[in-house]
Amino acid sequence: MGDDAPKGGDRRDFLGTSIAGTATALGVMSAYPVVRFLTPRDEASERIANAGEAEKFFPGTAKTVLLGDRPVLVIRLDDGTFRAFSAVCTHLQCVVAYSTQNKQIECPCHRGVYSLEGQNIAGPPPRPLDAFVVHVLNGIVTITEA
Amino acid sequence: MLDSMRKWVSDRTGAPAVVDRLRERRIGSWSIPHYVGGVLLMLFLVEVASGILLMLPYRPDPLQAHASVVAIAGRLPYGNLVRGVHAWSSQAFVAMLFVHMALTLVMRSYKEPKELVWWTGLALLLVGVFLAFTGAILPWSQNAYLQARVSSEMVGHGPFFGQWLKRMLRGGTDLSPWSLNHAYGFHTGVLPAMTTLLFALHVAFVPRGKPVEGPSIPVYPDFFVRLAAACTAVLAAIISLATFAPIAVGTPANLVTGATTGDVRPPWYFLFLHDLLRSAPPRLLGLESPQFILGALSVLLLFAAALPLIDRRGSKITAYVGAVLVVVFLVLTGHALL
Repeated sequence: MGDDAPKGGDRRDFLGTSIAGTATALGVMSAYPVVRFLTPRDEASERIANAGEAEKFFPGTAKTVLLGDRPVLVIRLDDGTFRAFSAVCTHLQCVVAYSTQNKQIECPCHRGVYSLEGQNIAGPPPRPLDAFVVHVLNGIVTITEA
Repeated sequence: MLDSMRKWVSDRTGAPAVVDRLRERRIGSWSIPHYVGGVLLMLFLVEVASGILLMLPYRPDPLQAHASVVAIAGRLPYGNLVRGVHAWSSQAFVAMLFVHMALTLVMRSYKEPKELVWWTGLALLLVGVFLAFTGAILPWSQNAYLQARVSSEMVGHGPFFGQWLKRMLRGGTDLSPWSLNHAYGFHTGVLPAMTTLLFALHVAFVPRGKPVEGPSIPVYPDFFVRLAAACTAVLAAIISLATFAPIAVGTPANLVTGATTGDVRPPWYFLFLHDLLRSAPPRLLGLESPQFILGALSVLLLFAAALPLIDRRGSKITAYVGAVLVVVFLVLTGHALL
C-alpha cells in the first residue's frame, strides 16, 4: 500500500489532466462553429437603385431609396441638379432625412446636421456623408456607388 | 383530507424541513433590498408568463412584426392587457433594478462576504436592461428600427469585443431583415435563460447564518406575507397602467417613406446616454465621442465590479459617489426630455 499511493496519485493526476484537456479542446472545437454561425458576414449587396422618373422628382424635394439594405438619400436641389448621399448618419448609423424647411440634411436621433453637400456642419457627426453617383438616363434617375 | 394530502406530499418531498428552516431564518424587519429583490423576482415571473403568451401571436419578421403587434393590441381578446402588463412590467423591472442597485451601493452591502452577490447583481442589471431594450425593438416601429440601428452601432464602439458583439446582435455587419430575428432570439431565449441562472446564483450566494442586527422577523411566514402584500400592490399598479395608459405601437418601420427629421428617443433608462451622445462634440480626447462615452461607461462598470475589493475600510465615500451618480442620471435624463 505504502508504495502504491504515490503511483496511484500520478495516474489519477494524469487521467485528470487528460480529461480536463480533452474537455477543453472539445469545448473550443464546438464553440468556434457556434461563434461563426452567430456572426455571419454580409453578402454582396445590390449595386444600382432606381429613384423614379426625373420629371416627377420636383426641385427642392428628396427621396430615400434602397440600395440593397442600405438607405440612400436622393435630393433634387432648387436648380434641378441631383445629389445622392448615404442616408446613414456617420455618428451612430441613424437614418438621416432632408429637411424642406431648413434646406439641410438632419438626423432625428442626436440632432446631427449636414449641408446639402453632405458636409457635417453641426451636432455630433464626425465625418461627411458618403456620396453616391446619380445618373439620369432616358428620364429615369438611378443611383450607383461612387 | 387536506391534512392527509399534505402528509402524503411531505413524506415524499421533505418540504416541511425547508419551511422549518425558513421559520428559523430571520431578516431585518424593514430590510428594503429584500423586498425590492422579491418584487423583482415576481416581475420576472410575470414577464416570463406574459412573454410566453405574446410569443404565440407575435411574428418575428420585419414585414409582419408591426402588424402582428397591432393585432395583439387591437384584435386579440385581452391582447392589450397582456401586452400592456408585459411592457409596463419591463419598465418596472428596470426601475426596480436601479433602485436595488442604488440601495446596495448606498448601504455598502457589496462588501465581503457578499462579493459574489454584488457581481451576479451587476450582471443581472446588464442582462435586465438588455432584455428590456431588445423587447422595445420587437414591435419594429420606425422608432424601434432606428433605435436598433443606433444601439447596435453603439455596441460596436465598445472595447475589445465591440465589433464582434455588434455582428452577433445584427446577424451581419449591417442591419438586415435577420436582425429582428436575432433580437427576438435574444429576447425570448438567450437572455431569459441567463436571467434565470443569474437570479438563482444571486440568491444562492447570499451569506446565511449570521445573526441580524436590530429588530428582525422570520422569513416564513412574516417576510413572505409582507412581500406578498408588496407584490400585490406593484401588480395592481401595473395592471392599472396597462389598462389606462397603454403604450403606443408607433408607425411601422419603413426606410423609404418613414424617413423623418423629428425627434427619436430611446426608452427612459437610456435617456442619460442619449443626452450625452447628443451633446458631445464629434471627438473627445482623440476618440470619436460614442467610443469615448462607452469607454467611460465601461470604466465605471469595472469600477463598480471592483468595489468590494477596493472598499475595505470604514469610509463612506461610495455612498457619496452613488448619490452623485443618481443625481447625474436624473439631471441628464431630465435634460434629454427638454
